[in-house]
Amino acid sequence: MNKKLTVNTLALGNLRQRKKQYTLMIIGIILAMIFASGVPFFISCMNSSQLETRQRRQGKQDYIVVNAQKYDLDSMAAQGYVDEVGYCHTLFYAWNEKADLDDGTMIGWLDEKAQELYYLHTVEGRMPEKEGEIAFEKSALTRMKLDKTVGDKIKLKALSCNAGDFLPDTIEKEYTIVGILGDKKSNLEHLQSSYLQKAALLPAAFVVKNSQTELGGKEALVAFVNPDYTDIQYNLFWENIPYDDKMQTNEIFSVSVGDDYSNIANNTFTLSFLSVLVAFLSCFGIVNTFNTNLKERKAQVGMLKAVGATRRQIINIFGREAFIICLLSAPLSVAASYGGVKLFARLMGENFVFKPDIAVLLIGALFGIICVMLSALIPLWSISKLPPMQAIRDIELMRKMKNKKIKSQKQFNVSRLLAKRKLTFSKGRQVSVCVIICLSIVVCCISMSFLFTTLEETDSFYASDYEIAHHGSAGAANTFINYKDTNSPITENDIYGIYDLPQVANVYGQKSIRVNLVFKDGNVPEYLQINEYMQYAGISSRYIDANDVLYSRAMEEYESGAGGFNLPEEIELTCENIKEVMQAEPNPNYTYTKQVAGFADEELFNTGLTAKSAKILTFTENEIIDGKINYEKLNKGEEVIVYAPEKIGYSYEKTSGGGYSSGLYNLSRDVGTDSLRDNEMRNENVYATAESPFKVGDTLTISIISSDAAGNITREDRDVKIGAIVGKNTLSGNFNIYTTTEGLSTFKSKFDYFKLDVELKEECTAEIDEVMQSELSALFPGKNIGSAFAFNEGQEEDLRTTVVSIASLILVMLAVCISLINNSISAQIREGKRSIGTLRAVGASEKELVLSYVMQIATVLIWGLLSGTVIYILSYRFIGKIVIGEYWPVVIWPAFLVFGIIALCCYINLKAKIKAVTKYSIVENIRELG
Amino acid sequence: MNIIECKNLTKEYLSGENVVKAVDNVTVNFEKGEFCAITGPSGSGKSTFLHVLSSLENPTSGHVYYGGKSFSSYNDNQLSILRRRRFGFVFQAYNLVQELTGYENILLPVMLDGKKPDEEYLNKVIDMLGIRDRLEHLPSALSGGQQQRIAIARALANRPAILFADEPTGNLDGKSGREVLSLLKYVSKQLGVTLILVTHDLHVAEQAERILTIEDGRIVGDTRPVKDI
Repeated sequence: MNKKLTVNTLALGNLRQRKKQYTLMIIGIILAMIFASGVPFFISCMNSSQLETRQRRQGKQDYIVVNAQKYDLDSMAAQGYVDEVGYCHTLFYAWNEKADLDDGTMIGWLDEKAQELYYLHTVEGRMPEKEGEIAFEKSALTRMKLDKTVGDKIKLKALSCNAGDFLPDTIEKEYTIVGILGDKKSNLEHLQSSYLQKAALLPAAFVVKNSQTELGGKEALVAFVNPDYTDIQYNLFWENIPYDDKMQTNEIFSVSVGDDYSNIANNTFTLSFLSVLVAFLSCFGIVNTFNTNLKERKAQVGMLKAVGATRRQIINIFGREAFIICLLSAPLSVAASYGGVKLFARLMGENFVFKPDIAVLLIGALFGIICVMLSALIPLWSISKLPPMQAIRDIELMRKMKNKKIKSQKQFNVSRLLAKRKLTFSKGRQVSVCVIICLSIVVCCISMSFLFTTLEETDSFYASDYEIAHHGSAGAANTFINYKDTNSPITENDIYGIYDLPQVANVYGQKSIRVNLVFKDGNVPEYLQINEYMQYAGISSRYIDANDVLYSRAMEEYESGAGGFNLPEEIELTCENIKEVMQAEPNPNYTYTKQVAGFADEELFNTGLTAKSAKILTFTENEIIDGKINYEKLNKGEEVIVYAPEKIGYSYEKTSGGGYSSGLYNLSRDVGTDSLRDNEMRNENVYATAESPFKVGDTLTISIISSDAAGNITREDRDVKIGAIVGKNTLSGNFNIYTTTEGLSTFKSKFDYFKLDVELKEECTAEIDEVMQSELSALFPGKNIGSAFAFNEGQEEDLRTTVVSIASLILVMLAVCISLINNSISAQIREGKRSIGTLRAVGASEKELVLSYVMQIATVLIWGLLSGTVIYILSYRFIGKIVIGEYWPVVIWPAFLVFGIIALCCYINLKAKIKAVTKYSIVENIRELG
Repeated sequence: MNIIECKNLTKEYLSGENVVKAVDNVTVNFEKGEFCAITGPSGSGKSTFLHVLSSLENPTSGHVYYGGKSFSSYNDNQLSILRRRRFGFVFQAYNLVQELTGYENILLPVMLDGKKPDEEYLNKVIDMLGIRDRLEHLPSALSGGQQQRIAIARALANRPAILFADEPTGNLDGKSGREVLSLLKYVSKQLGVTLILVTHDLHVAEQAERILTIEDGRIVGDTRPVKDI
């Protein structure tokens, strides 16, 4: 015998001798490790999938600059204002001669950086590699009415680009289609409908690199840009693209919709939070596995201690054993979770990507090992503390029982009493089960509530099938006056034109004008004065925007080289000086308006009046704070609706780069902005608050000042009553007035529509959408046409990603939870076989046996439900506050649903397990044979 | 008058690939109120015979009749009711429910039957067994002898017709064993209960009115020592 007895050989010996026992334990550990290591993989997959979806739809660039040859973006990149820039070289405008000229597309090629930024992906075939080859975006082929596929030859009519213009001669181009690309340009058009015209030079068909225009032509450049976002650089980037160009020549537009990167980050944060809870639950599973294993081996620990093993040695032996299992099962577990997430990504479609780098793989493996080791050491630590004899004889329960002061019941229900006593004597185990249920309820409820919040947000707004928007004459300097729109406005005749389309059910028009509230005594209420502080929110103030004045001064200082790009010190607002700062200089437009409209001592408060059809106005009914919408009186022009939250607050915050951000908030909102509600909480940012002076029935004097094409000013004053006040839950604090389109038509001045909502008779399909888009484009040339169908296609993809992520989490969570609880139930039944046999011997039926366990499990489940629901409510509100700065509304019923599912699974398992035990004879139960 | 009888009772087990006949075609009757000891060497099948006789196990073939009705005509639920109302069991390892006190263990069959406990009767049994001061204790706080007395009280709680005892003194020291046996005899006589007891101890068996000897699953002896004397 020359074998040396070491801790390792003891650990390995243990592993060898208890194969069956270890097989079960290893399976448990592998499962737990799969879940634990799967967590980083899942988070990585979801994050990259959301990014992929975003990039596939819109590209990696944040801005697109059309006619980029006009701007020296390369030198901006060299100076650091721009991080990345790539160019698309637009060569031709081409169309199918059998279809309309308008239904064509630009043809161009991308340089390497542009290929990376624009993120084109082929659905079929490949990108062009030689002259004469072309790849089309899927929707471009449809629009051009080209029923062709990869390998087909096509002949197109084309106009050659000449910088921002075209050469006059129509030419013919022949290509072979080599690839079909995923939609990009059409997505950008739908997502950025108000910038539709700007995207005109962006190609939806691509030829081989370095292709040329026809002789005499000159390619147009479209740049894909990611600016440097540090404040100073970012400001300089904008300085280099003149302001007027941005607004008037439509040559730069942002492709970031709704702050999508921050949405992705928020989603990833929420998913990470939930996934970590899943991992935590997996740890419970491992603790449970080790606990059961160690419990069965307590005697072995006792024997080792009796022969002189120290606590450290015990932990060493069993800890190493766990570590060996961990190391052995780590590759398998990591491979399984990697494969699982990969399979999941593949099954979910092309937008789901899982390409973890080595760091994510290592994190996954490490996370799994740490989870397992920590979970293994917890029961090991407690068991190693036991004195040898206590471990050998397993007198723990006896001691527990001796310590409990139990009083005999003189009469009792056997099932109930047994359940009660088991709960008393095995509190530790019950607490673990309770924690597992609690966590599952928390995770599932948070996931479901998050999902419902997302779905509700998608459904909560009125969305017509098509929206035709008109942006009016640009640059109307004086917004106290309504100037005549000379830029082909939308008229009543246009509405009749839409009704001629057979697919259309309803058309709702919306008008928006400027009105002035007249205060004859010259006193504008404080509430409205605070509204005037927000210059960009539709209010034309009687004063020059203080921030604008100071910002210009800061720019002057910067340009003169006097110092950094910082707002001067006097911008420091306080609650005391805000009025003085904001009302420092009178607005010349205001003075002029008062003069030409014939006002003397009166003061005017300028605001917007929006006129909508009655049907659209009904969507504001759930926002009513006071009163009732009387459509008849609105139509007669006797009443109006005012948007006036009960309490508003102006907040102002300096940004790190020296700029500022300000907001006017609804402080009486039921949810959200709670931190703003109380001045003490963000005292440094809220400088002015006021309560609404408006009540239903109050009379407002409205003055509409208009200017005709010749510049003649007319003024029409009218007293109207406030019929209803809205602004219950919306975030904004900006005062506004609403009426019906009929109500507005009672005024002498006539106004055109700025927006039309079109509703279809039946649900929109891809075919109907194509027809409608083409018909509406013909009816409204140059107008922005938004298609809900096309937009929703993109939105649905996002929603699908969110739903799938959350549903997977819920399923994994439920699976983990149910398997852990069922393991615990099975262990209890296994351990209690003798007791079951005894009870059967004294006459207990299967029903009574099941009932005793049901009562026990039901108690634990109810505790789990209650604690889980409370924690969910608190934590969900907490997450909401962190993620979006608002308290999300809680939804309780998922807790009961989860409870129901877990309870049902437990009951089925319990019944099956008891049935399996009672299948054996009583004697076999008592002897623990069966 | 026979209280329980069995006909051609056989119980087979699988031991690896071999079939072992633990009870081999046994036909025997038990009279009401008698004290019968079943004895035999280790592995002879005496405990298995008792288990099959008392419905704790199903026979491979043959029948057990109680009150003229075969166990095979009862479903699981009916058998449970029969066990709780008409039979009492005393096991070698006591088999008390660890989470219940001594008194609660005694009440188990009564409570399972949904009856109100007959306190007068129970007090009589408790006093006869001398366990009044141990009733509030959990089994883990009781000695082996005390646990077995509680088990006997539990077996008698529902006024059973037959008390089955499987090596009831096997886990006890000599003195405790003798005490428990005397109590079993005394109580069953006092209450008019048929006592069928399995033992491998001849001294214990000798105290019975009737001794059945089993070897290799077959009854090889049926004697009545007391009557003979």
